[in-house]
Amino acid sequence: MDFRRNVWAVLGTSVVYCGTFVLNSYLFSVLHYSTGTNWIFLPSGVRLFAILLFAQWGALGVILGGLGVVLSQTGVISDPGTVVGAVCLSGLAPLLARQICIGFSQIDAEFRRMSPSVLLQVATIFAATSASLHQIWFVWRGISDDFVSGLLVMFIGDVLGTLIVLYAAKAALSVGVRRRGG
Amino acid sequence: MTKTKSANFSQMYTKYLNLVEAVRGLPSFPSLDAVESRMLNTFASAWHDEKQITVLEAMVMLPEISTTTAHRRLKMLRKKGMIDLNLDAHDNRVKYVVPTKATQNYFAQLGQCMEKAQQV
Repeated sequence: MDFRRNVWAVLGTSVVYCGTFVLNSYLFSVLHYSTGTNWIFLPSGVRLFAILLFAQWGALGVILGGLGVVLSQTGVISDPGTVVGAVCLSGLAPLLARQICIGFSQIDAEFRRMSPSVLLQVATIFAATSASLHQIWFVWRGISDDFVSGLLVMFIGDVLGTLIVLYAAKAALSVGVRRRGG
Repeated sequence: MTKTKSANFSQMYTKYLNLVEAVRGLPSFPSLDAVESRMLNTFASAWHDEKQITVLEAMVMLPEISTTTAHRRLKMLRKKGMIDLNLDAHDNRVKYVVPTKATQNYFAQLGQCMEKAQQV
């Protein structure tokens, strides 16, 4: 793949991911459940698009975006190891989910089988994989003592966040078509 | 541009197009079942001729379903924001079934789909 295009994929993803993270904090701070777990998590939708379109470069962008969010926070981070691990999982978990989808033939290299229902199934697999790995990590690091609740909330948060982003994209595409006189 | 680069860009663009189509095809809310769809299509003919449809007339416009079912479906369509009920200016007992903006968008979308199908 073209090096310049990869760089743009990484940078673009990291900026959008970072921005969506901040937007999520601003809009849904009341829906915060526990450390790293929210009832609605918009960046999960960005992760889905980034990894589907750019694969490992999207994953790198997500990780860099997550690190950007962490570094922009004021105050001392009490557990940097856990935080960095969670940030890395934000990029690696969707990459694993993508491989699972390819393995189960949900998606092919050019998304020829990507119907709306398949897209929703893929989004669910992404959410389940990310929530599972994150919660395993949090329990292992000792910052969460309720794996099941954390998993459920994070899964719901990722699914809802992804649906919001998907339908926002759908609405944006409709507006674009109407403006072009379609 | 080398052949490999060109093939990569082509694959990238194909992926993007297929993903966009999948997003565009996401189900819109609220969804209508077959009976509600049929009712709207039947009303559409009358609305197109600028005829006013009373609730009583709407309930008997589809002979294959009972008036009770039709009334229930009218309530569902109203709940989904697809129709509205306007009172008659002279007789408050008479209500007219009128389309909403959502219905107009629904028919516009159907029209777009038909246009797309004709182009294929």
